[in-house]
Amino acid sequence: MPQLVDALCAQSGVLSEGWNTERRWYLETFDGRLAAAKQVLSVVKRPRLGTEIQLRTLAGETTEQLTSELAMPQFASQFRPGRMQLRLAQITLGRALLPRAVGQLKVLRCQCQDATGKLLAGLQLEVGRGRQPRVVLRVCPARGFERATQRVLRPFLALGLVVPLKADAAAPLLQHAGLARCAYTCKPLIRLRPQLAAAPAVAQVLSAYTHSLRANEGGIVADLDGEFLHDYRVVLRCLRAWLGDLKPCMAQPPLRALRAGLTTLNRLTGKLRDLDVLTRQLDAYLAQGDGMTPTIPLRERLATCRAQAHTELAAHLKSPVYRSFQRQWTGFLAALTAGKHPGRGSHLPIRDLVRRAIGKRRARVLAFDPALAQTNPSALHELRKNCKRLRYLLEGFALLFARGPLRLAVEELKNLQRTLGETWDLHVHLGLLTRLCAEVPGGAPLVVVLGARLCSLEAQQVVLVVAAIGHFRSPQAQRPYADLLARAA
Amino acid sequence: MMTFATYNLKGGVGKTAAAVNLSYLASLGGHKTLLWDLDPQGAASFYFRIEPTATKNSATLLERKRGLGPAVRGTNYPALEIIPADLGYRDMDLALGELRKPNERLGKLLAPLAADYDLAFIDCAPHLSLTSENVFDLAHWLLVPVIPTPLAVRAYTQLREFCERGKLAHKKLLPFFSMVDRRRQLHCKVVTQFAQEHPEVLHSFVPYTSQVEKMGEQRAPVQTFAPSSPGARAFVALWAAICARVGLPNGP
Repeated sequence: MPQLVDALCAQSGVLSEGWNTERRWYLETFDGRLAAAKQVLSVVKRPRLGTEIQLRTLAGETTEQLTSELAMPQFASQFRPGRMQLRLAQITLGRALLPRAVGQLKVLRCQCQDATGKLLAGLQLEVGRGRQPRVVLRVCPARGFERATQRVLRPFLALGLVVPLKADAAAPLLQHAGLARCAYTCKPLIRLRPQLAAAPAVAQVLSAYTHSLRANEGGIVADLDGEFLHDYRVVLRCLRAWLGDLKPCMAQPPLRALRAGLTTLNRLTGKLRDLDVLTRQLDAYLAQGDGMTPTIPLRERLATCRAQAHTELAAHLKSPVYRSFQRQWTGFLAALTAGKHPGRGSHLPIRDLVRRAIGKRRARVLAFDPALAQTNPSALHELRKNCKRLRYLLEGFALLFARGPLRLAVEELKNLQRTLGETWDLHVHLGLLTRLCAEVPGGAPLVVVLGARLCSLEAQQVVLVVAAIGHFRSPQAQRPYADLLARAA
Repeated sequence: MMTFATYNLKGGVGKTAAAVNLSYLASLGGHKTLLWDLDPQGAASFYFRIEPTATKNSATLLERKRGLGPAVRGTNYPALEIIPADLGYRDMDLALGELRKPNERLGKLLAPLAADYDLAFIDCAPHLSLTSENVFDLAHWLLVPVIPTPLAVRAYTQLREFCERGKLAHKKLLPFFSMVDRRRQLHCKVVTQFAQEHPEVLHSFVPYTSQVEKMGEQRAPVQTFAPSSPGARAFVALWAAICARVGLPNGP
């Protein structure tokens, strides 16, 4: 790096503004909409210089900058009205912006000028923190001066001091700048020794997932983005599933009270999530209608129900009952880690216990009779739950198994699970819409139109489910499972 | 994109200085700003250390299939870009006259850039022509620097009458005094009288100072090399008055 700094400063027409330290956050939506739109959004805080928000294209073609008083924007609407707000609103479509990586950088800013003092390019040397700090030279040519900038950079390239990044994507930038990814991930991967006793190993995984659960509470209460609730529910279902699937390593008496707490949470969050998904899907369903029946009362009723469900959930999350549940849960995890109240299988190696659980769940999935798919939605729902629980075991304890077969096993399962999920959504939405339409004046014609449409969609979907079940039962799809369990053994 | 044009029928009234300094201040305020140097003299481009381009003739310029995008150049200031002057502008009126709907041509050229910028400033040449009418059509506001002398006031009155006669929105006019020397009795008298007759005049004015003249030597907006000078402070106050009048947020 000193070589590069010397070379930069020795270059005629390069003026250095000196080193500075800045803190940088990279923001992204839950579902990676910015990355999909090939944009990188970062918030840069510089001592004395204030906050700057940058929205750049991945190819580094455009740099847009905006100083702002905002501490950390969470929505496009919180940006000052203007072009950046407009562009972000188009990209994020109401999704919350979450910090995905954060770090401190030492930055040397230089201005590369020609003989008349005209700025050709802004050069920025960024040095991350850590034992082996990576260095990124960011070159931002002034518009119309790209060729002149190339001429300035040629010596650096010739000396081998600079290696061009093929694409100015966030991932290599973060890696080179040594920025740490934010701690939050919905499904944290915990490295466990396969021979570790089951009880403390399960406690580690449950603790990590509990952290993810708590990370989403604030977002749900504030009703920032539906994805907080989605992540919360994924973690909640994982915890519930593992309390059942891995119960041999846990003492039973404390489990009963905890299960009751988790069931309450599942009921409250499920109600809100169903309404969220219906809100998202409603336009698609109504697009199939006659276009004559007024839909505003239905939409209003749906919004009211959603608001009520959210109020109920938020009140629960802020209630003493929930705090008491949290205390119980923390105590349970501490006891599990310390080996208090052991279950009959606490001494088993974690890999053996998980393997048995996977074997059982897989057997239940395979035991499903496809003939029931046409006639029994509850049976399909049970199959869906079994698939989910199997996937949670595979993903939550992924590092205990060989990567290749695990990936294939999850892929096969995902296909089936997606089809089942879509079918169940239609079933739930039909029930919800029937109830909602009954509650609004003049909703009867809508029930007829939407009911017919959803029933027809459900029938089509069931055909797909039967095909997906058939595929999942095929030897080809089952091979990764056989490999997985054999290798684990 | 909100578009301002600095225009006066009379030359040497400080149009270019106003365009350069106001566009710079707008960019400092967090607005992504474009300055279009429409004067073939190229003074605004010179202030930003950019050489004017030399297209063969205006017909080529007006027929740009890719719009003005490729002509845009970055300045030394982050949120400010410029379309430099072009020698081809000298016969723009002739070229415009041969086209259909000649009054809308420049607006159509600028339109594709609207998504990229918050504000645009156009520095016009001092004449009343088809080019000027294009600018009147496309600009949301016409910033008219007026020297407090009878001739300059007459030029403003002529412009106002022209706008009213031609059904161009005279409400777009934002006159302000430029190069005011408060030691001169005539200047003081004209300023008072003009303000009474034209309530649309902005109450901030630009004094006659040597620092503004030094812009040619420094080749930069006055705020960058003499930020506390009376000239620099006057432009800051003028930009604040403009923002208040047109409803723009002033400052990041």
